[in-house]
Amino acid sequence: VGHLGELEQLILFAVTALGDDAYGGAIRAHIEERSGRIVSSGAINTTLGRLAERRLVSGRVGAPAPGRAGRPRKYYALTPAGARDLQKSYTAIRAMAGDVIERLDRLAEQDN
Amino acid sequence: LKPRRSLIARLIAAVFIRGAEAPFILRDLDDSFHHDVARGVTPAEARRRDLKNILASAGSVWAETLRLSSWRPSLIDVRLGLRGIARTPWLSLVAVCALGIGIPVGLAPMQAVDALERPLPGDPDGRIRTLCYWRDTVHEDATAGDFSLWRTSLRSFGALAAYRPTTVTLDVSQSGGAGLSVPAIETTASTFEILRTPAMLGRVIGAGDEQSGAPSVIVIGHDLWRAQFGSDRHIVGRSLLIGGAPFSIVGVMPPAFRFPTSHELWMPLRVRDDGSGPRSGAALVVFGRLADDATPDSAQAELQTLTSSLAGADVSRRSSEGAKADRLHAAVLPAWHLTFGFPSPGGLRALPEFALVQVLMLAPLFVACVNVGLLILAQISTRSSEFAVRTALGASRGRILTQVFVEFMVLAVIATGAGLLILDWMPARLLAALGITLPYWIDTGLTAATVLRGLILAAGCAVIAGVAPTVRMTGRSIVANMKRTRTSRRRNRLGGLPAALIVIDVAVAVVAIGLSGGLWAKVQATRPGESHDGIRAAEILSVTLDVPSSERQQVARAQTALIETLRGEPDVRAVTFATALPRMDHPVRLMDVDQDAAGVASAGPFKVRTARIAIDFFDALKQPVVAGRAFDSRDLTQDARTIIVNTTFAERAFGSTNVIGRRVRQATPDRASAGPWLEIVGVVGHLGVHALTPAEDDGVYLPLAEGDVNPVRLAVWVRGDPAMLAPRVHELARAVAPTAMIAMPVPLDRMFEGDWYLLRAFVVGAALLVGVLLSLAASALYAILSLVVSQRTREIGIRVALGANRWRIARDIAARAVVQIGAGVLLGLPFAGALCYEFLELRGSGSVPGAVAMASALGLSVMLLVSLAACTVPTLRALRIAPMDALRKD
Repeated sequence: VGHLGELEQLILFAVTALGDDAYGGAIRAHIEERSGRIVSSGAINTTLGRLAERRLVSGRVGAPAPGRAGRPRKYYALTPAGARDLQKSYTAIRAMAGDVIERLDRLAEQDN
Repeated sequence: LKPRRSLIARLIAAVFIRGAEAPFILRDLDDSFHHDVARGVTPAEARRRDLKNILASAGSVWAETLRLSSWRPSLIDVRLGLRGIARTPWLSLVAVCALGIGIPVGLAPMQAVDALERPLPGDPDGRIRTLCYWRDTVHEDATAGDFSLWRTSLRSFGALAAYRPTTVTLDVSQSGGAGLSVPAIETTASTFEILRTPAMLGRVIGAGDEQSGAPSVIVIGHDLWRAQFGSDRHIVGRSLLIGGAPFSIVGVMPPAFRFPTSHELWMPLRVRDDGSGPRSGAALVVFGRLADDATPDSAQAELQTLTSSLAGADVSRRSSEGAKADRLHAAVLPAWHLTFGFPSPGGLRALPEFALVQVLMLAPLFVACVNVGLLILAQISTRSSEFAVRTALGASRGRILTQVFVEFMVLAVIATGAGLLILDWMPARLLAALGITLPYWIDTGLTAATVLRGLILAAGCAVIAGVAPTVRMTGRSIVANMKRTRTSRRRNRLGGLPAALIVIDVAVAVVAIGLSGGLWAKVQATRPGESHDGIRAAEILSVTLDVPSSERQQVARAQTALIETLRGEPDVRAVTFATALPRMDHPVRLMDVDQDAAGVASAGPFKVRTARIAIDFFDALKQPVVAGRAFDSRDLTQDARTIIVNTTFAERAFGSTNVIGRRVRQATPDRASAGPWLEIVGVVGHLGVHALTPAEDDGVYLPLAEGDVNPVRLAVWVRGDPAMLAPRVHELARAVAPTAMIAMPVPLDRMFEGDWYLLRAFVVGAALLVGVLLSLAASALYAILSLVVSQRTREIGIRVALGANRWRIARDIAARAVVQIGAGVLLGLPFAGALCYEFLELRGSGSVPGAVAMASALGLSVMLLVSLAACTVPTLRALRIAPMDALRKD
């Protein structure tokens, strides 16, 4: 099992949060709303493609919508393997953060 | 109304976002835009965010496609690549041939500049520099006065030397030969010190030899020593007669020494500085070796400071009309300026024209790459199943691309090797065939820089011709590739783009053939010797006489003295002078004409070619004045405003009316200003003011007195071979006008100047281009037909088995090629004809229909021959296909 990058973690959290409605555009909007980070649609889709290759997410092609050049959406869902990897990553970050958050806050305030 | 996404953004997205995930990404882009609009973002901001999203998405998609981790080449890739080449030998051969022609052509301009701008032997760091003057784009030699000042004042140079070229006649009758004309220089002793070349036998010229009254000595070159003196090792001390005077041979130089270009004899320079300061005295070429602590920039700064007063005091000594009083400035330049009159202190590389030539010469290579690339695309489609299987087995796209890159890199390197061999072999032979002698220190062989450039071009070719088609082919999914492979067995996939390229290839080749045919016809029409201008050019020696003085009286005295002395020579029939002689470049001016008696003005202004001529010019050249009179001494007075026109101008500007007494004046294109009116006193026939197009040789002549213009061109009409008189002209000039400089003594029929010279260069260039384009067109045609045959093997086999007529099958195959060739010829012929007609200024010339017809016929027949040859082998292969072979292949 490989490590998850920051963008991969954000995408997996978004896929989990969106449930059955997790497609590229919605994931992008969710990440922007929650984290303020703007990620391109291309980056989200290529990352999702890579996660699908590693079987961390599974994809299904939706029905083509009228009026959008007949292009379908591709919906993603977290797989058990994906959930385990995301859990491990989040646990690792929480363990690393531990009691240093307060010190982190103080250091950040010093700059201000 | 709902805001819409911008068209440009959607186009960019459609073009740059490719691959299997593209439809979903495009849909997401659409969703994101509408999401922004729905949450209240202004339409303009939403479009800006959309465009940013598209560009970032395209970047992500391409980065994913070309992930570096996939691009590590391995030995397996090399092995697979070599196997791929062996599997398609014909295609590989075509690719090597096409690139092997295109690469040397593309490398040639830079290789030529490298060769011409090479440091002198023994000076790898370029410490030897020449010192001269520049006025606008014109290079001017220094003078004895300059040399004297610089030698004593400049600290940036360890040593300075000066020389002037001459030609001497050796009296070698003692050894059984006749008078021998040898290129020589008169030079200071420091020349040998700066070049750090000792004599092979005896000694070089010493400082004592430069003194007035010192014994007359010479140093001879190795070739002269071997050819005329039988490599006599006891030659030092022997006496030799030069122009009747005895000179003692004091040394023989080593074989590789022919300074400054291809000289074989060196004499001490004994030019006295008359003390009148800079820009006075005899013209000299000055050069030196930089001192250890000096740089070219510091030397330039020191020279600039020393000569700055000159710039202010300088008055243009070129008094001809229209000459600009440009500021004169001294320059320290690389040594290759010693030999070549480059029009820029920075050399050829600094000229914008060089960049244009480089681009033009790279064009055939680009065409070759695209041709080969399309062939590869066609051929690679037969490998789509291989790529699909490899992809299914886990090979990444990057790995397949790496393999193809390696495959074509090997091909391109082979082609580059062949091209470099051609580039190493051809220039020396070409120059020898054209009779061009380069300076002794120029080596036209390959340099490390050229080899490096060749390898870079090879990598570029491999990307364009190999990787680009593969990127296109491997862009589809495995399933799509497999489907494509299955369907390809049923129908021929060629056509479309490759066919269009063949048509364009043929058309371009026809245009090139037509153009070179027209140029050739033009060169033939203006070939020296028998000429339309009526001048007996083969008997006239053209000499440029330059007197380095700004004093009009001094210039006049020197010009008169030399002209009168030449007239006294027994073999000389006549001598005259002008600013331009027949067949040379004549400056172009615009002329207005006055109103006729009825007050009607002619259309104008008229473009005419002009020359200022001595008053005896027409008489000396035995050219009759067909109306009015020739110039005489009255026309040289200050108040005289007279002009002689030629018949072409007279007819164009005045029609059939009498032109004597009518007036013309110089004009500007907008007629905002004009010169004084000049009265026409005579009319003459054609004298070759426009060597290329006699029908457009509108010319006018203005009177010229000695001293008016400097330098002038002397026309010396001799009995016998005018080239034989050249050394004598040098000797006489030394005797009667010691400060004068004689340059370019060339028989008029060998005058390679101006338009005619350019035309010859164009013909050579066009011939090379035609060769390249023909080869490309033929190879592309051949390869496409071969592929057609190989792809239709099964079909042909079955048709033969069913009893089809073999010739009918061959006709079916050839029909495609004939259609493409025919389309190409039809497309190219009008352009070829139009180019011949317009570009070559054939309008009005009697040879127009002939030249255009000849060019067209030539283009048509050559292209048909080449195309038929390219068709023959594949068609014969098709005829030989046996049914069993076809089934076995399937």
